[in-house]
Amino acid sequence: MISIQAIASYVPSTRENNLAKCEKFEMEPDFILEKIGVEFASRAAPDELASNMSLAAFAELQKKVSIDPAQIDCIVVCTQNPDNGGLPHVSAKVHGGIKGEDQCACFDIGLGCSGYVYSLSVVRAFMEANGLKQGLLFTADPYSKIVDPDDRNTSLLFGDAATVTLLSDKGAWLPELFAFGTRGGGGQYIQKKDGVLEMNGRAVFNFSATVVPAQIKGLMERHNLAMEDIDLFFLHQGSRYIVDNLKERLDIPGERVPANLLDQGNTVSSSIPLMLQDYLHQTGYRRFLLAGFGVGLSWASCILNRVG
Amino acid sequence: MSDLKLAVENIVRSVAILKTPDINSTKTLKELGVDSLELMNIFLVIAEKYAVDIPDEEIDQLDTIDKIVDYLTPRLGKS
Repeated sequence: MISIQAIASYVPSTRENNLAKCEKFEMEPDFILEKIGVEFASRAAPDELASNMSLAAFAELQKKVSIDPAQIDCIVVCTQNPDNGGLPHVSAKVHGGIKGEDQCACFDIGLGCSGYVYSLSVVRAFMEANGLKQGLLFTADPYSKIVDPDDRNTSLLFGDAATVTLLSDKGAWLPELFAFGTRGGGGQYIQKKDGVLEMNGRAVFNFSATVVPAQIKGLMERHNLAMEDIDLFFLHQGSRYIVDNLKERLDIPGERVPANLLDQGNTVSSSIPLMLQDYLHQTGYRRFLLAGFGVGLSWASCILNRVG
Repeated sequence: MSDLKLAVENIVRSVAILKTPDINSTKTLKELGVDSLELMNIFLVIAEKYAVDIPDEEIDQLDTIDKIVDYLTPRLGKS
C-alpha cells in the first residue's frame, strides 16, 4: 500500500505585517490576531513561482530522507497558480529541476484548499493502480500573485508556501476513508476575476461552517469512528474564526486541533501538510483526520491511519 | 418580550463577545460590540434555527435586534 513516508516544506522568508495595516483597513489588532488569526502573511518573491517553490520544498525533503530522483515514479503538483498559465505543467518543470527519469509520470491537479486531501486520494490510487513505488506530491499555490493588496477580505488572509509529501511503499501513514464534495453553483464565491482573487466572506463562512462538520460526522459514522478515536484533527486553516467555529460545531477540544495560521497565513493546499509534517514522527499518535475546504466550492476529508 | 426577540438576543449573546451584558435592542449590533465575523455567524445561526435565507443585500439593513425581529416575524408566521 502507498502511504505517507515524509513531508517537507518551504515558506518564503518575506512577511507582511498585518498589524501594520490596522489603520488602512480600520480594524483593531485584536480582530486581526484573534479572529482572522494571521499576524504575518508570507509572501513569495516576484521570481518565486509554484515550480521553484516546489523545488525549495524538495531540497528540504532531501535533508530529511535519502531520495534518489531517478527512483521517483511520479510527481504531482497541486496548484491553481501554475507558472506561465500551466504550459508546461508545473510538475514537468519540477521533474526537470530534480532531474527525474523519463519514465516518471507527472501531472498537475487544479484544486485549492481542498487540494491536499483530494490529491492524496488521487496519487495513492494512481500509484497503486500502476505499481509505482515512490511519488512526490507537491502543494504550491502562491495566491499572493492574485491577491489585491487593497482587498480587506483577502490580503490579510492568504500566505505563500510549498510542501512536498513523499508517498511510498515504505510509508507509515495510510490515507484512506475519503469523502469528497463539490458545490459548483457556489463557484462565484471564491473566484479569480480579471486576474484578481475575489471572495464573498459571508458565503464562504456559511459554506464552510455547514458542509465540513456534516462531512466529518458522516465519514466517522460510516466507519464507526467516534471523536475519541481521532488523535488530531487537521482542519484547513481558512481563518482562525472558521477553525474555532468548526471546533465548536464538532465539539472537538482545542488541543486536538493543530493550528499554524499566525506566522504565514492561509497557505491554501499547503495548510494541512505544513501542520502534518510536525506530527508524523511523533510517538503516541495512531489516527488523524484531515479536512480541506474552499474554492470550488470544494471539500474533502480523510483518515490517516498509522501503519508503520 | 416576545419569544422570538428573546431567542434572537440569546443567539447574539452566544455568538458574540458583547461590550456589556445588557442588550439594548435598538442599538446597532456594532454598538453592542458585534464584529463583522460574529455578524456572519449570528445570521448563519438564525438561518439554521428558523430555516430562513437572508440575502446579503438585506443584511446591511438588519443592524439592530429589533430590526432582525421585525424581519423574521412575517417570515415565520409569528406576531
